[in-house]
Amino acid sequence: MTTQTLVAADTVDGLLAAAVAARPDAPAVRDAAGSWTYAELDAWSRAYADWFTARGVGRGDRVLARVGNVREFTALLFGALRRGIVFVPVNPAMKRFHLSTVVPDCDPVMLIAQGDEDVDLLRELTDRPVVPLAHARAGAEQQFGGGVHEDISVAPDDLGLLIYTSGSTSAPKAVASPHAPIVFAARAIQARLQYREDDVVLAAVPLSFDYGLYQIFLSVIAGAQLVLTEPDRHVRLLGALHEYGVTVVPLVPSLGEMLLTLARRDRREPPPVRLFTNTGAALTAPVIARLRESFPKAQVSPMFGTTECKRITVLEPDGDLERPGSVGRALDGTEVLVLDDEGRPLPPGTVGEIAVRGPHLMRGYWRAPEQTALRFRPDPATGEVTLHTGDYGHLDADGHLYFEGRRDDLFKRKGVRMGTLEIETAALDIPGVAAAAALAPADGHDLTLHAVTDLTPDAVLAQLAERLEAAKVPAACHVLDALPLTPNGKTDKQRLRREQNAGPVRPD
Amino acid sequence: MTTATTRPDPDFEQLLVGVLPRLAGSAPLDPALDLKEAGLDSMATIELLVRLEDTYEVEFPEETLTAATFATPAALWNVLSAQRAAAR
Repeated sequence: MTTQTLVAADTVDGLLAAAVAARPDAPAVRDAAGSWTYAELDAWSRAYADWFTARGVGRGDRVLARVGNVREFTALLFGALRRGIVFVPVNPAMKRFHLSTVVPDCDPVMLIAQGDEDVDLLRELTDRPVVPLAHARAGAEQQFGGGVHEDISVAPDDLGLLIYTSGSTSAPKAVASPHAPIVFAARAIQARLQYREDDVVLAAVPLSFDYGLYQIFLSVIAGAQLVLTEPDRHVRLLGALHEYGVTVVPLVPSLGEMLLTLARRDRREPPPVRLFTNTGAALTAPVIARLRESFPKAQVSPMFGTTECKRITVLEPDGDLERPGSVGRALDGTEVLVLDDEGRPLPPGTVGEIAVRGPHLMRGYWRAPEQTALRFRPDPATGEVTLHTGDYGHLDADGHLYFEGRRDDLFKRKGVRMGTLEIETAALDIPGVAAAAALAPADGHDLTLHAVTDLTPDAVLAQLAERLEAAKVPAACHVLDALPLTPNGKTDKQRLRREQNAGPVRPD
Repeated sequence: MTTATTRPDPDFEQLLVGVLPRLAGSAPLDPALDLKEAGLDSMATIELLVRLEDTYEVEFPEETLTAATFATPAALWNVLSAQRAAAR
């Protein structure tokens, strides 16, 4: 407890210190194997910190962790951060193709991997030590309770995380995230969402994805309990909600879809979910409506963000009832703008590039000054940095943001301006369509819909024609058994596009 | 639970192939096939679960909803057969 006063308030490890001081015996984090209180999480994170220190890993060094949704992830994370070590979470589903770029790019002094295959793969990509998670755990166990090493004083400007973004068009690049903006963003999100200390928060999205990762910070700020689940347990997702009394569920569309399918066969009373949040890819209105039917006590909070500043907007719970399609207002203390091609602010109702200012802006891209300069542009007069997101949307008169798509998702067809999102939303409104992805016209292909449905392609198009003006009805519909997903659960449109260009849809 | 391991019926294989398009045309399925490798991700697993329950009018109890149940066609058929026997 004496260390509490020594910890700077605006560091990520400071968030944990505050939670430990306030609620040491409250449950902090649970996975399939068991749970830790806040005091235990603190003790384990200290043990991993001591293990890092004993291995010679120090301030500013990078540690890459290819670890799934297990408690050790949280202890490694806080263990690294409390010693000023930069933590680099990587999705266990990331393939060699991307790993072979990411590993040399972040230049880690140590890599930690969960499975034997992951260890072997990483060892092929680096000559730095690759430590199996079980060995790291054994190392931490030896340090546990020893407390031989002092925590250093971590500064708010110190780099805390490198978060690799999927890089929709290019090689993965890392967003360099110092402690101060991480803490600012987490607190501002919490101010809008209001997680409570009696909440049980589900992290079924990967912790390597910033949406999953920040569930750790939000839970710690609230003193809530975090429940971690892995993809191979998704079939028991609803069971987990019942068993652990989950109250807050962050959703990407694929997860929402699974939950709704499971809820249909569940005869129990709905679990006590009080809040669904959504970001990454938008839940459509029909999916939100079905969630409200299946989970009558739950409110829904759509949000919008980008790793470069973590979160841009949050719509207060159930705000969608009044403003359907909105992703909410800017976080308090930050600004969201919609700009024309020359960077001038546009009036409400006009679509332009979404831009952001505020203390939540991260430092830029890791070791990529040119890409950083392109997106993080200082004002020539004031020097204040504006983040140009590359996403398009509009604001309403009260500052609520409406997301329209990436530049590639917006196009003109038969003289009409449109976006793939509205076509997908209409497709999902058709009874029997479980998932849909529209591809904008490109590469000699006209507007195309890919749908997961038992209906015939002609039936889907006929029903779409009832819902959309003629110019917006796709030229073709392809029925699939499932949409390809990225490791973060977003529809993998690049893959759909590759398959479309390659001819008939093939397995990989 | 005694499970007389009967041979999977054609409906069963069809349901599997229905969620695993890569397997189309490869019937009869190898009972020891690694379904995860064959593309049975979490979304497909849940879809398969619902289709099996509808087709065979059974309910998979919570404790059977594990990776092991959906590991191979043989494992899944065994769990399914047990539920059918229990439902009779």
